[in-house]
Formats: sequence, C-alpha cells, structure tokens
Amino acid sequence: MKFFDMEHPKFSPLKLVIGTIVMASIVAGVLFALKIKDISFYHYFIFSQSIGLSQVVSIILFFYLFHYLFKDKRHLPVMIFILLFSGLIVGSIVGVQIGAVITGKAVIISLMETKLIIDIIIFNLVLGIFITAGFVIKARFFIKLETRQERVNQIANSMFTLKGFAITLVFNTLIAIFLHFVGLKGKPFGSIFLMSQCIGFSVFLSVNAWFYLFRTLHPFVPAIGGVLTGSVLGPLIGARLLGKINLVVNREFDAFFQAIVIGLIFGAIGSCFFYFRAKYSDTKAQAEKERAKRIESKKEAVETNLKLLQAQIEPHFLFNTLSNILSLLDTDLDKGKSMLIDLTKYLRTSLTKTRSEQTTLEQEMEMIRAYLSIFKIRMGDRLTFKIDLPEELKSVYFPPMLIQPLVENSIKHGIEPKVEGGEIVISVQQKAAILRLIVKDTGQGILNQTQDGVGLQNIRKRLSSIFGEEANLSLIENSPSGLKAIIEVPYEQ
Amino acid sequence: MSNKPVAIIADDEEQLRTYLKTKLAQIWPDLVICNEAKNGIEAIDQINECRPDIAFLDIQMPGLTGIEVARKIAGKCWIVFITAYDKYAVEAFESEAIDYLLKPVTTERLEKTVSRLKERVETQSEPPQDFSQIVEKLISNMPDKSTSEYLKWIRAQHGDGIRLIQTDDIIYFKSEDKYTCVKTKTGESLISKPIKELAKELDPEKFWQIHRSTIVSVASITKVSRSLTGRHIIKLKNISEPLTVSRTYSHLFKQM
Repeated sequence: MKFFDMEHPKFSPLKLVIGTIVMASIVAGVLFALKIKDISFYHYFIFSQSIGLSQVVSIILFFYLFHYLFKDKRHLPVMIFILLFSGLIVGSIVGVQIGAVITGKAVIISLMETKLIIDIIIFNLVLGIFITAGFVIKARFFIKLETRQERVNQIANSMFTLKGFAITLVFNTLIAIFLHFVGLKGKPFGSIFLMSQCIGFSVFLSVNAWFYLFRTLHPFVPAIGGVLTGSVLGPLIGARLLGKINLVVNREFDAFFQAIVIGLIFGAIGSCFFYFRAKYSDTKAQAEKERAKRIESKKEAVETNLKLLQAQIEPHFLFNTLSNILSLLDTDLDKGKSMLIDLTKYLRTSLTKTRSEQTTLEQEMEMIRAYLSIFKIRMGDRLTFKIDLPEELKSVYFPPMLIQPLVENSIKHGIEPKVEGGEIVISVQQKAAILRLIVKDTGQGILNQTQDGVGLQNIRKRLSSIFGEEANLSLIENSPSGLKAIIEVPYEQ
Repeated sequence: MSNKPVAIIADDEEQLRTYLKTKLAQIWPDLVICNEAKNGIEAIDQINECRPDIAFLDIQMPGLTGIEVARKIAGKCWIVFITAYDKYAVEAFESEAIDYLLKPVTTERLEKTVSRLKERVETQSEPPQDFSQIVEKLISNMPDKSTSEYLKWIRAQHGDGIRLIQTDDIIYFKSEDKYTCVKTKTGESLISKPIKELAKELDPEKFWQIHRSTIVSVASITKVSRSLTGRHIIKLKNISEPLTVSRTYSHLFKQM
C-alpha cells in the first residue's frame, strides 16, 4: 500500500506539520467558541497544538520505526490501523503532558509514581522476555515443533488459558510485594498492588493480542511489542482507578482526559482522511495495472494463436508429407490421392479452427484421424491407431488444439523414435461432471529422452486460461511401455 | 570390387526409399543399391556388411539419427544427408565430405548431387577420413538433444498408476518423514527419493535448496523478505504459506 511506502512518502513532512497547525488552530477556535471548558483561548490553543503535533510526530515516528524494523510487510492493513491508533494515543498523552507543562497547569504523574510505574514495567519486560524464552525452549526442545509457525501457535494457545491468568496474578503480586518491601518503602501496599496488577494484566492481554495478530513473526516480536503496549495502557488504567490515592493531580485529570479524547477524535478524522486518500490513489493505480494486464493477455492470446498455427504446419511434417505424396504419384496413385485428401482435410480444419474458439469433439477427432492417417501411410506397419469417441459425446464443444498436440507428442516422441513403432489410442469418456480425454501410446515413453515438453506447458496454460483451476493434464506411465496423457475438464450437459 | 559404384539408402519411410531408388535408377543407372535400411541401426549394419561407396541417410530416423550414423561410420563412405526440413542447418556444413538433399527431392537437385558424387567416386577412391569434426558440430546443432543431465521428470506413485511430473511444473519439494512431498500448482504427490539426492539431480539453475528439508523452484519465487531476526522468508507462486530460508542457504538470497 502506497500509504505505507516510507521510501517514497506521499506526504511531505513540512506540509503535514503546517496542515496540523492549521487544523489544531481551527479545533481550538471551535472548542473555545463552544465554551466546553471554562478556560482561556490561550489554553485551548496550546493544548490543541501540542496534542495535534505530538500525534502527527508520533504517528510518523511509529511508521518509520515499523518500516525500518520490520522488513516483512505482512498484515499491512491491520498494522496500519494499529500504528495509527497507538500513534494517536501516545501522541495524545504526550501532547497533553507537553501542553500541561507549557501552560504550567500540572505534571500529571508525580515523580514517585513515575518511578513505581517504571519499576513495574522493567520487571514486566524482564519477566516477559524470560517467560517467552521459556515457552520457545519448551516448544522447540520438549514438544519438538519443527517450524516457527507451529511454535508460535503452540505458545499463543498455551498462554491464553486460566493457568496463564493465574500465573500473571501471582507474578504481579510478587512484583508488588517485592517493590513494597525493597523498592518503595512507605507507599501503601494497596496502591502498589493495584498498579502492579493493572500493568501486569495489560501486558498479559496485549501480549496475547500481539501473538494473535502476528502469528508469522518471530515469537519475541509479539512478546516485546505486547509488553510495551501493555506498559503504556496499564499505568493509565491504574492511574484512573487510583484517582483517589493522589496518583494524578486529581482535579486536572478530567480536563486532561477530555483533551485526550478530543485530540483522539480529531486525530482519527485526520488519519482517516489521509488513509482513504492514499487508498483511492492505490485503487487508481490498481485499475491502471489491471488494464495493462488485460492488454498483455490479449497480446499473449494473439501470440499463442500464431504459435498454434506454426505448430500445425510444422515444416518437418509438411515437407515429409509432401515428398511422400510426390513419391506416391509415381508408385501408388490411389494412396497418393488419399494422402493428399487427408492433408487437405487436416490443413483446412486446423487452419480455420485456430481462429475459432470452439469446435465439436467430432470435428477435432476427424482432424486427428486425418493427421494419423497421413502418418499411417508414411510409417506403414510401424503405426496403428484407434479413435474411440462415444456417439453421445460427438457434439460436445471443445476448444481446438488441445488434443492434437498430445497426439503429435505421441507420434514424435513416442512412436517415431521407436524402431518397432507402436499403437496410439485416443478415447473420450464422460463421468458425471468430468470429461476425460486420453491419448495413450505404446511408444518409448518420456523418461528415456531429454525433451523439454514445452508443448505440454502450452497445453497446461491453455487449459487453465479456458477452464480455470478445474482442468488438468496429467501424464501417466503406460505399461509395459509408452505414455498416457489425460486431460480432464469440467463437463456440463 | 566391381567398377560399379555401390550405395545404400536409409530412411524410415518406405515410399521415400522407393522414390529415391527409382529416381537414382533413372539418373545414375550404373549405381547399385545394395541394400535399404529402415532405421539407423540397420543402416550401420548394412554399411559394415556391403561396404558401399555412398550412403544416403535420412536425418530423422528411429534408433539412430542419420547424423549419428555418419559419426559411427566416419570415413567408410561418402555421405548424403536427406532431410525434410533443414533445422540442423546441414547446408552450412556442406563440404567435400557431406552433401545434402531436401525433401521432396527434385530431379534437378538429385542430378547435381549425382554429378558431384560421380566425380568423387571416380577420381578419388577414398572418402575423406576426417569429417568427424563437422559431424560433431552438426550434433551440437541438433535442438532436440539437449545434453542436460538434470532431472526433467519425477515419477510419483498415484492411485491411477505412475504419474510423471515435469520438473518445470514443480513449485517445491519438502521432506516429510520418510517421503518427499512434491508440490505442484494442481496438488501434491509423495515420492521416496530423499531431498539430499534430489538436490544433486536437479538443475541448480532452476532449483535451490533453501533448507535441510526444502528445495524450491526459483521461477516460482514471487517475493523474498526478511524477518526481524534477519532470516530470509520467501513467498511462492500459488502457495499461501511462506517458507523460511535457513542460515546455511541464505547466501543464495544475498544482494537480491
């Protein structure tokens, strides 16, 4: 998605900053006019600007970080959403703080509490890494899961259980006790406990969410990402719950909270605007690509037709047949005549057929009969052939030049190179919704030779372009010798 | 040895042998056709048996091609190649030792060849020994005989018999327990040949081993990306699941 292409960004940072300032000013003006809070325009202005700019800066920062840290761009739409969202939240929080500092209103979380929160986060980070490492080792060496995918799945599944919840609770409590006695003497145990649980569970839930979203990445990615996300959300929730215990300068908190919400709303609107604009230009580019592809496929179709045409009047076949006819004019006039008739029939049907999309199976088989009759005269006893087309399938429409190349292969690579020659049997069967065409020969088989089988590739390509995924060509060894080529296509009555 | 020149005709198609014989009888009544061969192997036997001065050899014959026959009997007689379509560019190699005829053979062209042959057979008694070089060049010109020794087909046991899978259709090989899974666009088959052996037999230009248990077709790779830990991850055409390149093989993707 272009929106995310950091090497060729769609926006210039300067434009973005100026746009943000303008938009934030408008927001400030509107809010002031509405008199949402009883504060001066100066306050509105500063808060709008600091929130808006922090949002933009953090979103850009997040995108750049993601772009350079994760070369693997899977889950892009989800990722964009997450990056936007977390950018907005982080930007709002930071913005409010900056605004508060500038206006001299307050510092939200007192130093003491900051230390508490940082301590808990560090504990969580360390524990998170250890626990993840434990899980990885367990999945790799004890359950012996080969691929990383299986390991990540195993970890994700074994974590989000009642046991996982219980373990988190125990760990959080242990951290709280430890901090109460060692780190932060004098703080009421209750608040440390609550904060620890808030952060711990936020981390736990976010790690799970990350594992769920990024199943294909290395397990440490969701582990660390989850701990960081949880660490941002946890203290906020904790602070909200502990509002009474003087963690946050109480009176201002609601005002800040409101500022964050308003900032988020406008930020989201702005992001949506950019997102959809980028998506629109993407759609346009996509349409352009489609068009180019269509032209390309048209060109390919013309080329294939040309190739088919060439394949049928393959010079070797044509000249050999002509010299046969020439020699038969001296020796066996009747045979010569019938060969000339067969050649005419073959050329007429195949040359007109390549231009039409469909022929009936009967027409196709008649052409093949003419083709094989020519070879029969040329090769004498070395070739016998049989065409088995049931009466009821004669009028079935079928694309031309799918069976003929297989027959040609049988002759050219199966029977002709084999000293004693062989037999070719062509049969058509219909079973339920499947039409099956079989070209079987008792020639020398395909393994003894080094031919590339470009013809087979062409048949496959044509089959899939006409019938889609349902058609298929398979080659099976014929016993005791030779090859059986089977085309299967969907059949409608 | 009688004074009359002797020739053999080798062509897998009877009409064409008869035709050439009749034409030669008209143009060069002295020429004795000592035998006719239906394929390359017979041709060699007959040449060794009746020691002709001239061999008319159709290029496309079962058993051995005319060119291969010429290589085996080098120096024993004069060679005239006959071909319906000059895809071997025999013309370019026309020389003292080798003449050629294009089918259908016209009387005028055959007369020219015969007069040349007469001159050679009558003035020089020995055909040149050393045209093996020309023949080698001709063989290297033959488009059907690519000398590639790499696997082109994989035999896989299926319900309906032994299925032949063209290596060009294969997207990847992956070892599974005792077997190797062969994945193509249309499905997968199990073969008993281990990855280790396959790696040696497949064309290294077309197939890369990316893991102890995986070999992929290079043409099927649609995307190579890197994971956070620096591993290469590849996406293959028509396959949703990405494959990881192990460190041992990651040099293949460096600078890509």
